Amino acid sequence: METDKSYELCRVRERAAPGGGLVSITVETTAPVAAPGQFAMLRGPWGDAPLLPRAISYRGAGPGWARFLFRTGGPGTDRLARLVPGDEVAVAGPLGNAFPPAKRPWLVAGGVGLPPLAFYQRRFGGTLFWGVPTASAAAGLAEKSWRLASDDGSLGVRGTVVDLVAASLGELVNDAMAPDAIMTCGPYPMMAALARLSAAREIPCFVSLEGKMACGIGVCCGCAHPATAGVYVHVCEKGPVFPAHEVVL
Amino acid sequence: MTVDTTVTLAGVALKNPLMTASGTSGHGLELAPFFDLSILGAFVTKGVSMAPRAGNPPPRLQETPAGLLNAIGLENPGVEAFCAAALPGLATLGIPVVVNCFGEDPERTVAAVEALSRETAVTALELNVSCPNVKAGGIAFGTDPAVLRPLVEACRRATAKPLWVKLSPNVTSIVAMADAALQGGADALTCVNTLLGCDIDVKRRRFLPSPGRGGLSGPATLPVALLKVAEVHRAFPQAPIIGVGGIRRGEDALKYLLAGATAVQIGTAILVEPTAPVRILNELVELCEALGITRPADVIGAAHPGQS
Repeated sequence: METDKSYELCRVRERAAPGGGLVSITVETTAPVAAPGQFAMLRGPWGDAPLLPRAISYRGAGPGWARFLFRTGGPGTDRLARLVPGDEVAVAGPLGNAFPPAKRPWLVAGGVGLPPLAFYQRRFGGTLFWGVPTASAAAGLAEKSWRLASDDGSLGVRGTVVDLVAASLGELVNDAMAPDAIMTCGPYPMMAALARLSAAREIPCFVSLEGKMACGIGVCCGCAHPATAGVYVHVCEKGPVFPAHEVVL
Repeated sequence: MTVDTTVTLAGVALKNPLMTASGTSGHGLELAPFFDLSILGAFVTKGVSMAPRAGNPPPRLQETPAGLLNAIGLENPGVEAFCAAALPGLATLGIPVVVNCFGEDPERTVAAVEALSRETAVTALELNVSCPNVKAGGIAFGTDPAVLRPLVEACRRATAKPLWVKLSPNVTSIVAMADAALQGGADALTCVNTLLGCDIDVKRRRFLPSPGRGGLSGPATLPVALLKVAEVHRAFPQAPIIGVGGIRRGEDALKYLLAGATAVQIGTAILVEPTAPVRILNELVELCEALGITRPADVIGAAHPGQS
């Protein structure tokens, strides 16, 4: 699933700002096609500040193109959001590992953790659950087949996406319908709750971590995350996708 | 006009003055997917110590205006694992391989130097003296000339390879430290390591990065590091200097040469742009052509009065 890395200046082909602070940009690229779960380091031509490129998950990729979906609000993502078609953006990618293959995966996204899981479902199928605070945060991106939860009940069921997943597991009429893996990306408390839920049912669980990164390519050792084995793992090098039991959430 | 980029640094021939900076290019061939590492004048590894080190808890990084604070905590696999896993790959590059090394006390520093000196693939050693000396209350070796000189002397006795000492800028007088390192037998001086600094998370009221402080690198540090190079060169015009701090363009590299550096290291620019050394080398050559400099080695220290 892992692919060769490359670094290139890419031309922005499309940009969309559907709302909720979410922005999508599609770039032309000659890099190998990314797999769901992988990420890239993105930086525009904006001088020395903010200094570092930003780690952004792929929302989609195919021969010659890659799409990124991210939430604005920081100095780097705000700059990336200002890119328009025709602009150049430096992209190092595809980086990191990918979510593993599964027969009947449940893909559980929290908020802006959506992109790698929506990408996974588009490519391999699976049941996607998405939890958001409100309908406006979902920015109309939800697809018909997705199972949705929102804190205020304005989109899908009222409550957390973890509650929705737990209820859905309880409603299964037979084991043949049960997921053979749960893959998740979102806030750490949400992923920790899903890891506990999965462990109780003996379903393999894979989490995608968001480490503070400088390089994204395994040279700076900055994105250390505590591992259950008692040492650190580097999110960019061994991850961002980990079996849930291997990392401290 | 052809530009002859070769320089000789304390007996080591480099095809150009550009090398990686320790800590920003991994221990081995991590950067190889991005560019042909053999275009470099030399490759400098991330620091290694005798025993493996897990490093500091997160957050290890904090971005600052045109800079980066890091507190990695000298994470490394240890000399033995480094020599087994990373060194053979570096040896295939066909360029000088400089191993940055350190120890938690003088004995372990010397042990690392000795162990690495047995490796034929190692061209030279760069001693990191900015790490805390656990036997002296955690004060860095490189902040006291009376500590630094005997440490360098002991390392000097332990190796026949070229020994570079990477000086800390976090001192009252870098000239006094340079003097101690040279008296101790250093062949060259790397100027300078990161500048100590901190940031604060105002919501959580916590210092950043995690130990409460970190080393500042990146473009913000260039004027400080450039002055340190100039000061050391002025005091010791014959001492070979490797300039490092905030280089992100060919022009920056040339500034360090003019200040007195024989070679330069590219650090944080690689984190921002993995192929930065390729671009910086091209820019340096183009700038030399534009300025009529046929041999960058000829302009080392040329910004100092009486040397141009």
